[in-house]
Amino acid sequence: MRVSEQVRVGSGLSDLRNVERSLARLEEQVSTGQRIVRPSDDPGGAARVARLETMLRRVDTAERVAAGVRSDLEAEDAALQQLSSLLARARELGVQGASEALSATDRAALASEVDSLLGQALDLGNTRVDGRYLFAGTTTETKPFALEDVGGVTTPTYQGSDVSREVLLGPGQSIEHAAGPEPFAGGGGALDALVALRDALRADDTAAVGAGVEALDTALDRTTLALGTVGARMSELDAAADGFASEKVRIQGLLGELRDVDLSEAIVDLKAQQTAYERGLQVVAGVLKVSILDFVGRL
Amino acid sequence: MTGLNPSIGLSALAAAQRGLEVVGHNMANAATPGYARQRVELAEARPESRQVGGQVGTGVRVLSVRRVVDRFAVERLRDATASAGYDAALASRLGELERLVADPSEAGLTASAGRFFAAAAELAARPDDSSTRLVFAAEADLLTERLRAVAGGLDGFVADVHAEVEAGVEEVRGLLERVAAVDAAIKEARVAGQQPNDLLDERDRLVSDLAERIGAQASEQTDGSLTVTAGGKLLLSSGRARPLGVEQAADGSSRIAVAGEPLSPGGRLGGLSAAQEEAGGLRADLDEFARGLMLAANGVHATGVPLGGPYTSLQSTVPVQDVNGSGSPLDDPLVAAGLPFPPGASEIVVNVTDFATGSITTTRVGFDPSRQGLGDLAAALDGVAGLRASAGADGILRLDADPGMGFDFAPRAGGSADAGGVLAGLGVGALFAGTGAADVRVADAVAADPSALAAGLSAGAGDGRNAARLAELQGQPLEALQGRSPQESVARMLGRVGAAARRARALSEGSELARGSLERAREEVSGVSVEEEVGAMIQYQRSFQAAARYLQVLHDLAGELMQMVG
Repeated sequence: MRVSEQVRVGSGLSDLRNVERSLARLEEQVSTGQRIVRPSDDPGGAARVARLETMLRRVDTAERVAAGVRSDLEAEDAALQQLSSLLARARELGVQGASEALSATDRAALASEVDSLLGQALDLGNTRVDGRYLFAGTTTETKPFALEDVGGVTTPTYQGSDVSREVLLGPGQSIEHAAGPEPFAGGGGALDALVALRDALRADDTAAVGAGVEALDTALDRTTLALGTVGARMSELDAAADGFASEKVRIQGLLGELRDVDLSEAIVDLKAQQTAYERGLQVVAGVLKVSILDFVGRL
Repeated sequence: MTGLNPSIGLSALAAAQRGLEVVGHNMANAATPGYARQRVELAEARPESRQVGGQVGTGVRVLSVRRVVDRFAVERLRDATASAGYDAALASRLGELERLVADPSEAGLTASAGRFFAAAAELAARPDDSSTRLVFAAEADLLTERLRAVAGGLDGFVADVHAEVEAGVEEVRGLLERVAAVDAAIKEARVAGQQPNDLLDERDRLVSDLAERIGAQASEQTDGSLTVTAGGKLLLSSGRARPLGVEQAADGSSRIAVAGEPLSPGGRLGGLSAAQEEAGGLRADLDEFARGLMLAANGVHATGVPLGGPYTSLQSTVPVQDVNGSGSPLDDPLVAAGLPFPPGASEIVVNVTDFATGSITTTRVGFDPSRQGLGDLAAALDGVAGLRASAGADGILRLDADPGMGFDFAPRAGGSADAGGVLAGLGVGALFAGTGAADVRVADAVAADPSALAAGLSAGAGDGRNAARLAELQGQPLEALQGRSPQESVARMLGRVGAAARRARALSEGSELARGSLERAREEVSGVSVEEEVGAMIQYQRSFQAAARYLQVLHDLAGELMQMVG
């Protein structure tokens, strides 16, 4: 085989270029820590990474949404707890007021205390978190509860909607906000019961006071029921959040396997290629240094 | 006195000089690409006819100076050069496409689509929060911006490649003209009895350039001229180049033609054409994704209720056209009325709300766009109590509620509200406007005021069920995406461009390797080896010295004879 000048220089250089290419690729892997820098590094893997990243983003969103729903539910829970103790206090006052031993003035005093409880209950019904009314169904922008004077009679009104709020957590997984207006609104609601008790005390009507106490019992039952539902929703949410957390770990694990480079392996490869490169340079330099022209001068 | 004739010595001197000349030429061109080493062919000169005893020759003759070339090695190298050119051009251009389509950053298409759907899910959770509305509108805008940018990038890519093809064709024309010129010079030299070695080298180099650029093949004719073909079409014959042209087709791709006949090139130009084809395929995929997303999102958005509650007035945003030439756009069946998204048969749910009482009346309006036009739709909707509908000569549908009334198309009872996409097709209450990836944008009404986002299925500000439907589209198989979900569709595009780029890169590395080894095979025969040349040089030097010595001896002998005579 004849070895021409161009082959002698060229083949050494092209071998060096090959080593340079794999060096560059390894350096990129080590510096980014990623095995797939562009899709062509592993087309199937890149598509899977894209899918997993989408899922991860979705789970992140679901976690944020769940945290938001949880803070709403906590606020609902706190408001309902307060309502519950408020109703219990009103019931005590009602039971006192039903006693025959009391005078009309005593009852008037009780009535004014119940009136202040009514004000507090109204405020609880109109609880807002981040500007949203919690007990208004989907019409979170309108103040749901008010006391209107209809022909001299105080009438609690409800302006909200009957549609309960439904929140999408993950794909195909939605959760309903628990508390609707039920503990406050309508016949059997806290507001109606408190108004009835107050007016009965004011009117010094013991029979009506007894009825008021009964209405309070119903309202208390509803409140307890609502509290139970809120609690159940919170544990449902916690279970979902646990699910999200483990899903996230799983996806991140898969992503790591697909995308992350095995650093120790890559660094060992990099070292090996560097050594090969240096050796190649030495060989090429050595070959090019030897020439017949160094010897013919002496002929 | 034939014995003292110096002609033998002189012929030896001349041959050695010629040999040294060739050695010098070879060494001078040791680094010239495509140079084939040359060799002096010597032969002994014939003896004179009548000699005593036996015949002795009359010295040495230089027969010719020839190139040392292996025709087959050259041809194989030429073919390898052509496919290396093709693969290298394709690989480098596909690498570019990959960066364009598969941007892995947060600004990339995958991330933008993911954020859009995530924003929809957050909107579903907090539809009454103006900041989530703003975020959703902004993410929708970013997604459309990205789609437009990638579509524009792909179109720009094809145009850019076309410019390179044009430049390449220009180059090929120049090369063909030079081949023709060199051909003529070779012919002239041969007629004069010369061996045009360096011209032949140059012609080989030109043909190799042609192979690299357009995948040309060449064969020498009996008269010594070259016939050059590419893609089975004649480019040059008997010293005349045929006219080569390039045009841009309707889809922006380049079409090369020789003398009016379409030519499918090899070499770099072939690689560029293949890259354009790949870009065209991606562009079609992108358009399909954009259109599928627009159609589905608009269908959901049209059948929702905005923040302010039911609509009191609404207009379609995509005008129908007078396609059948009746003079009015209203009688054209909607499937053939120039709509970018022609609807199918549908049953539209119309809810009319009486604001005073809050009572809602739901009517279902059937519509068959294969035979009914916009006029029929307006008439049918106008028949709903509390709603007035009209369609004008401008092809726009106008809807107005009676005073104190409002209307919407939400499926309050669940199910679908406008399965055929009639409202989406007309752009009634749309989220996106446009016809494809190149011009998709957020609808004007939503862009101007995010409270126009129809996040709910009822009048409550806290109702996010429609936004939830939008978020659910992400993983939902869509007919317009051939049964794939939007997220799957994006991932598939990524996989497609990645696979193509990877394949091209592997092929390019392989064909470069093949080219390199054939290059070495050619060099083994035709390359200049300095050691060999130095050896030849010493040989010629010695023979020159010997010839000079021989002449010296003849001279001395002749002098001695002269003295005797003197």
